[in-house]
Amino acid sequence: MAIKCLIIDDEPPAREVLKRYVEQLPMLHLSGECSNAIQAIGMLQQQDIDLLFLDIRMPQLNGIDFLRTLNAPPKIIFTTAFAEYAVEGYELDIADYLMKPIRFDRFIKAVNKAFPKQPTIDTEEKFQPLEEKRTESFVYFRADRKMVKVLLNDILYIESMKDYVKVFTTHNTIITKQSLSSVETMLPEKRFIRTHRSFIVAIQHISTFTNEIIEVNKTEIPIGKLYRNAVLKLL
Amino acid sequence: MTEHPFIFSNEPKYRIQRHLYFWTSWCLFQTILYGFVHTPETSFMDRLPSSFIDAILYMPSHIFLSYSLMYFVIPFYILRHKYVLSAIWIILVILSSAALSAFTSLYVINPVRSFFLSPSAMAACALTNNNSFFFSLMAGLRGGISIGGMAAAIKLMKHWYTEGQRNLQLQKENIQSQLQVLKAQVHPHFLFNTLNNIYSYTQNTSATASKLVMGMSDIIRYMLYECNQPLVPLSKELTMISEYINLERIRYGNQLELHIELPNEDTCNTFISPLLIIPFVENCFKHGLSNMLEHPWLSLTVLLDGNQMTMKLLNSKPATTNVLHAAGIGIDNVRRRLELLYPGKYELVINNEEEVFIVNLKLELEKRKDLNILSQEPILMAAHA
Repeated sequence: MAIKCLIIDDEPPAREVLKRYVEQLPMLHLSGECSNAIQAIGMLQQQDIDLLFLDIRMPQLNGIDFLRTLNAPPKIIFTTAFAEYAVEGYELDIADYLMKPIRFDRFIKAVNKAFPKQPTIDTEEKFQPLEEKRTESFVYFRADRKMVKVLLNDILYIESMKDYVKVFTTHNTIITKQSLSSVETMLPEKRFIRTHRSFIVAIQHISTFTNEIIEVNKTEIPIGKLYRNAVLKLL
Repeated sequence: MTEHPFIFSNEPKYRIQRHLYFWTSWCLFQTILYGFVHTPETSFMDRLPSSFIDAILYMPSHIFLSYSLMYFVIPFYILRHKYVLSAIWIILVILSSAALSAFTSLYVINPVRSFFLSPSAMAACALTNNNSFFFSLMAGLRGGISIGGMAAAIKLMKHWYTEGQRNLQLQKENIQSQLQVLKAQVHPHFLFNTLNNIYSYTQNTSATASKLVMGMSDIIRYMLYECNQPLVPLSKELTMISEYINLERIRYGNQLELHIELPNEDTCNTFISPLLIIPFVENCFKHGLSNMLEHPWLSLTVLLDGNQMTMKLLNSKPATTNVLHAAGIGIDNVRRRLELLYPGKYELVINNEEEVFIVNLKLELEKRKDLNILSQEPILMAAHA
């Protein structure tokens, strides 16, 4: 059984948005649309309506006063650009309060709130809010006058040599002019550990360790006295 | 001010209390100090009774000097910027208190001492007595100036402190009211209705445009309505940040390399002061990325471990950007806000390397369970605004 809804809004583009949204949900059936509240009174007398999408600021009769004239109002969802009517809306026992411009996922949430028994709709496939580029975490280092991208997962360990650091990755070695401490601040502290004045090691690549030495990819890396406690605590 | 009523309150109870404390400690201090006057015949303990009497008897002249400075010279001349008159009055007041003190030492001290003390103790005291009026005047000057100066210093310090606090408060209110004026000018409903209409027309033509309008609206709404709250859910702030990055990255086409990692878990129960993180991201785009020709990149990682939020923000920047520019005024403001809002609960380390700008922020946030329902309802929060 489809939910019969009515859109009341004085601005045509605003009605357009709601119409589109309603059409995208199979459980909703659009019974009509009105550009003012007076027109809506007639509509409500003629047909059964389950859900009203109601704008507040409209010429002649505003949404709130219109709502007060109704004896047995259907479920109401306010759609408005005004934030200040929210409290009044809740006093009138409305189902939800949507702020323009309305996101589709928020719209669905409001409909689900008005008719909780309906099977909830998965918002994911319909309308991706704003896709986030899921990429692996990386950093860039300057080496040989160009910027080299290094995936954090690939880094085995980093060794400092005076003004330079050598970044050993699973497939190559990059030499860049930077201090080891500044490289340390670039790396997530949960995944990397300073084991020595001149070494940072990727925790995930550690194969074995003793009190003095950590082995990463068959390379032995010393543990400095100052760092021993922290290292052993973590491992 | 209410935190330290003992110091700042004007209630008679506290005023009397603090003045009593002040004079009692001064009296004790004088007693002990006079007790050390070198007299080979008597010990320190023997001198205490007589030095106590001295301390009490000299008090009227000290009190006279202190109060005439605090309640006459300071409020009527110094604070009204009448500096020449102030100087004249200070000299007059000091001299008259010295005269009072000299009169005390010449005509009052000995009769009172002989009334209370044994003859032997009197003899010991007699050695240190100096009966010349000039000498007594000098001695009076010395004691009077030290206590009068101290009292005046306290009075002035308190005055400047309260004045400073008030100015700060005024500034705050001023900014607040400016903000209100700005808000009133924007007419939010006009803005949002228009954005909604634009959104409506872009729906058929361009999905990207729709998304941009929506993102823009969300950010404006957040800034206008929800940032009046002292705290917002962390999830809100983070959503705004990704929206912001999404809007900004349009400018770079596909050039900008992004890595964003936000907490997976529910962050609705964790609260943060609004617009605390956005300035850092803004800064990335403003000073770093927008000037880059070659390979702009940005990596933002926010982790939440209990209450502890860790943010790591790296962005490329051109090697030529000067240091002053790289950390803008925005960052200074955030640092100040952190200091005010999260004293002792934050750790902000900014590294400005040659080609990368690194911000590490650790922040102890607030967890609130009971606010959950309210906070997920942005509209209700807006309604309070």
